[in-house]
Amino acid sequence: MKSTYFKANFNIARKSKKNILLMGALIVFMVFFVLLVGNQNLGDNYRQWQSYYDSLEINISYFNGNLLRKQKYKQTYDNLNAQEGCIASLQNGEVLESPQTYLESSLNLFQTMLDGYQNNYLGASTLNVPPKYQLRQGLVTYKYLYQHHIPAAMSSKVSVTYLIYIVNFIAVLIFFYILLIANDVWMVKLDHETVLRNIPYRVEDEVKGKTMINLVLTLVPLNIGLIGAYLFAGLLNGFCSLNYPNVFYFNKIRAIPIWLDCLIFLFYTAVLVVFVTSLTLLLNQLTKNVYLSTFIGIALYVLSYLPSKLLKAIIWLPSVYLNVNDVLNGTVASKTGFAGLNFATAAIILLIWSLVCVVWFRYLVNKKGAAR
Amino acid sequence: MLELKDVRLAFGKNVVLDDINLKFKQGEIVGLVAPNGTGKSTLINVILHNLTPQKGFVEYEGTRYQSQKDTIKLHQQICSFPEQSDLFPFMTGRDHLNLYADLWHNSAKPVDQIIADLQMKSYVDRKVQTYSLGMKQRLCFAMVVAADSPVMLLDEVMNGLDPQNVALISQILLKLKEEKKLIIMASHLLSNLQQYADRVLFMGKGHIIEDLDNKKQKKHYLKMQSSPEATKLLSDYHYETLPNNLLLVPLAEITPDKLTQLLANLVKADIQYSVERIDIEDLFNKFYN
Amino acid sequence: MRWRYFLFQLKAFLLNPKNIGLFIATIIMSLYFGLVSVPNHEVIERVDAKPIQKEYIDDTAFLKVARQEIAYSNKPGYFYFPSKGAVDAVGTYPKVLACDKQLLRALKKNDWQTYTKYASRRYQYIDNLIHTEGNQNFLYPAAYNKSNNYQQDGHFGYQRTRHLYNALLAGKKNRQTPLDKNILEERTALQVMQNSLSGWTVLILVVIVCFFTADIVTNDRKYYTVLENIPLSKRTILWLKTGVVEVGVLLDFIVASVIALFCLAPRYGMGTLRLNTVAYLGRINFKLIFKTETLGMYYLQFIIFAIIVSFIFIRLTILLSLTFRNDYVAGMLSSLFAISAKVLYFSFGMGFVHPVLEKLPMTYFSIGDSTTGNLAYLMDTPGWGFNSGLGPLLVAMLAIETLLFLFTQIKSIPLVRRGD
Repeated sequence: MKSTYFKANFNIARKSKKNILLMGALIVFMVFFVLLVGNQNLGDNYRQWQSYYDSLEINISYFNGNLLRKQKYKQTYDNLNAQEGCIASLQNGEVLESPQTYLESSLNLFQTMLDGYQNNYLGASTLNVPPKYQLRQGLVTYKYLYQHHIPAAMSSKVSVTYLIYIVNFIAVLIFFYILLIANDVWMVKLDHETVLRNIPYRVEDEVKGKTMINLVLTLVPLNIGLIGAYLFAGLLNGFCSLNYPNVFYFNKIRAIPIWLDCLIFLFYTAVLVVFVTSLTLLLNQLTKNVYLSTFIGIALYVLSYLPSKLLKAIIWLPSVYLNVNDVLNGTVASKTGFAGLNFATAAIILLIWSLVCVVWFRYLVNKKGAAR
Repeated sequence: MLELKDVRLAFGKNVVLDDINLKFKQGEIVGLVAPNGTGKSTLINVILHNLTPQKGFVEYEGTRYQSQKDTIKLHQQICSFPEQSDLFPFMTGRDHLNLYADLWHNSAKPVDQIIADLQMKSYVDRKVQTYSLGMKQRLCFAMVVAADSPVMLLDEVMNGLDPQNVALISQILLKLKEEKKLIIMASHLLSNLQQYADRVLFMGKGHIIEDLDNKKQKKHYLKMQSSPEATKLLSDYHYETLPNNLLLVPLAEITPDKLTQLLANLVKADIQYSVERIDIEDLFNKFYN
Repeated sequence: MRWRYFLFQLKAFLLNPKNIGLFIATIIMSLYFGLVSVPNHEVIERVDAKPIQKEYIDDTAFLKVARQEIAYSNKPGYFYFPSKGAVDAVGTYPKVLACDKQLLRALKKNDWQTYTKYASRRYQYIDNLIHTEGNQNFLYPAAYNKSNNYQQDGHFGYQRTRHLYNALLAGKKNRQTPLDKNILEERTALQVMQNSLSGWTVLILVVIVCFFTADIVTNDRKYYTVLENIPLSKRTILWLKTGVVEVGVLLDFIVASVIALFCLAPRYGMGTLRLNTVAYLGRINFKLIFKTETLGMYYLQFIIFAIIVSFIFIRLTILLSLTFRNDYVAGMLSSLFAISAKVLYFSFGMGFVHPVLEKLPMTYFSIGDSTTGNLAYLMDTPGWGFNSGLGPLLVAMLAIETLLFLFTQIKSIPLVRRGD
């Protein structure tokens, strides 16, 4: 990469109204969203468990209603009763502010809920139990806390749990941020033709330079946001160790400390920036329009919301790897049923697609130069 | 040295450049003169490789546009004049100058020097969207100066400039010439070209009609408006009539005696005349009207 | 001159690649809606003989056991108390089974009037058992459990179905409107559209309006010198541009609905605007829970809202693009405004306790939510419907118009600046 190219073009990118607005919005959102989280008890387990508790109650009383059903579905019935006990004890732990009770009963609860899948909750037709992989994700977190003697935090507003909350949240949307940052990556050149057409750089240098610029425009505000979020939430609601676990999938669902998770998140985001930049370079050259490039990018992301039956057929497309959160916590692997789809595989697939885009883009640019 | 060899370019049946052969030396200011649509911009675009000729090649210091590497090498040496409408409205003039200085990275010449030379100090730190046409034009020129490439292609650089600014830029062009830059400029300001261009190329119908060595133009002509009396008086002499009704008599072809007699006759017939070199404007009229 | 300018702008609008992209996006979305989304949509209260048959057989067997249990306990000399389930079953099953029998018979004969009558009766009876009497032998279908509020959601669902059936039946009786399986399942094209045009679907359409408008003013800077001196006032120009976007949006939406209707109508029938539908009034325990109106009435309200909302967003986006002088920022900000209510107070669960939301225009941008009364249900308060929405929306419109008026009054603010 030529540093002169980077320097010159970075000056254009950082003065764009759109980029300034996006970067500002990202940082402000990441840092100050904690106010809303604290205020509205978002990501708070209490409310979530309460509604599950209601659904448990209804099913238990349905079985209680008559002996016949009670006997036929005894296994389910016992499991539901055990769960009810766990939730009660968990909520006790929360009210009495006893992390130990909270932690133990959470562990038990997830284990029991998973056990219930042994007979697929036969007979409990209206129970809204979460899918297996989500239960495993919960289980590993609490196991990790238990093994490492870390007191469980019971809300998402202290420094580290907020950091986890915001990382998981931003990971879902970071693709859109990158897309919006990158969507005019080549239009800058096409729109200011006589200024930038005959500059003495190879297409490769320009691709590398543009990627570098987008990396800076993404990773710098992201890092500021992460650190800011941790510090601000800490100052507001108290600090916590950075060893607190977050769910992570590699060959199985496990928990890793958040600092490591953040590093992996940043790494994967960097790969995503590389991909999105090559994609938008190509789309800009093809459509010559910022909006069309953006729409196509969004359409690619929307594909990942297809039912999992269809998802299996498109795992070779980049779509399912654009939601960073789903890749990192194993949702992609669970939804598609391919255990090998961890962040490393995803990164490789994205890089292959980046290469395809860049080669195609290079061809278009060179062809254009020659044909005229 | 920049060379164009047998360059031919046609858009369909319309042949814009027909086997053009040209050589340009460093330290030369070359004017390209032609009416609109006769291929001035096309020629500049061929030099920049934005248009690829169907036949022939462009060569600079032994390098031709053959691979991407060559293209980069050549573009490092050649800089062309950006259009005003392509400037970034949200950036300042200084940003633009730094952009070109950084991208070409040819010299250590400080941008501030250029700003001072072109008297842009008062507005260079404002955003371009606030500039007037003349300010933008000066900025575009300054960008090329900032790139500091050995070859500069200037397409209508004087457009929209008032006489003071034309003088200012002309002065800097001469300075650049001293620095051994090759400057190729398309222009409609013929009298201005007359002052400093070393060579003037007249283009038409795909060819270079006239390759005028402006500095070696020593021939003097007797000029007058065409009228029946004048033509009668000149019937014995060799002369040319330009489309704007100007009669030109080359003085070299007349002996001093005959000249004295002719001038006396002209005064007697009350015909206004002048003796001077032929200028570009006259030639322009000669070739294109 | 005005007409010329309008046509010129309209042509530019329709040839704009961004707008063509938006048109294509809308078309793809309505194709997806008609061909994938609706056919795969799970109807909770299906009109189907099989589950009724199964229930009939199961419950008959269960009733037999329960009766034996009770007979056993009634034997003199035994101190045996029958289970609550058995007692409940003996008390309630006969009535349900009688209904089931009628339903099966009606289905066999395709006698929709009888079916509707007994189905409605059955819903009312079972709902009363579960909700009022706490009988635990019956459950609402699990599918109702959407917002983790099972009991309430099931009750609301049954009441809505019952009232819908009654309304359809009344329509059939009084005005000879049609009645069949697809109509009862609300699958006919017009009914599906009624139920789907709410929430995110509408908000996406609103966002499309924002992006249609985003560059209508800022684009002029490309032709600055051409358009600089046209002898039209700034206000006239903005009105003409508004008109252009209105026409474009209208065209886009008409194309989208025609495509959706064409996908749906052959499969499920078109339905008619004379059909009855129900809207929730906001008090689940009152006598009058739902009001009956025709689909035509419903669509009329919907369209009035739609016109106001799209007008608001066109003018707002124009205002924003004048303020920020950047189409991109304008489109993004007005889109954010459009989805603000959905994201902030519905997704994050703000606002359960803030009645002030009823007075905010954002609450009504998803249109269908308020016109069907679903919003009133969500907020557990009456109001939030067409009548309460009209005020805030009109005030918002007025505010935007005032600001635009001021903008056009100030001479020093041009529509586009040279080199902007």
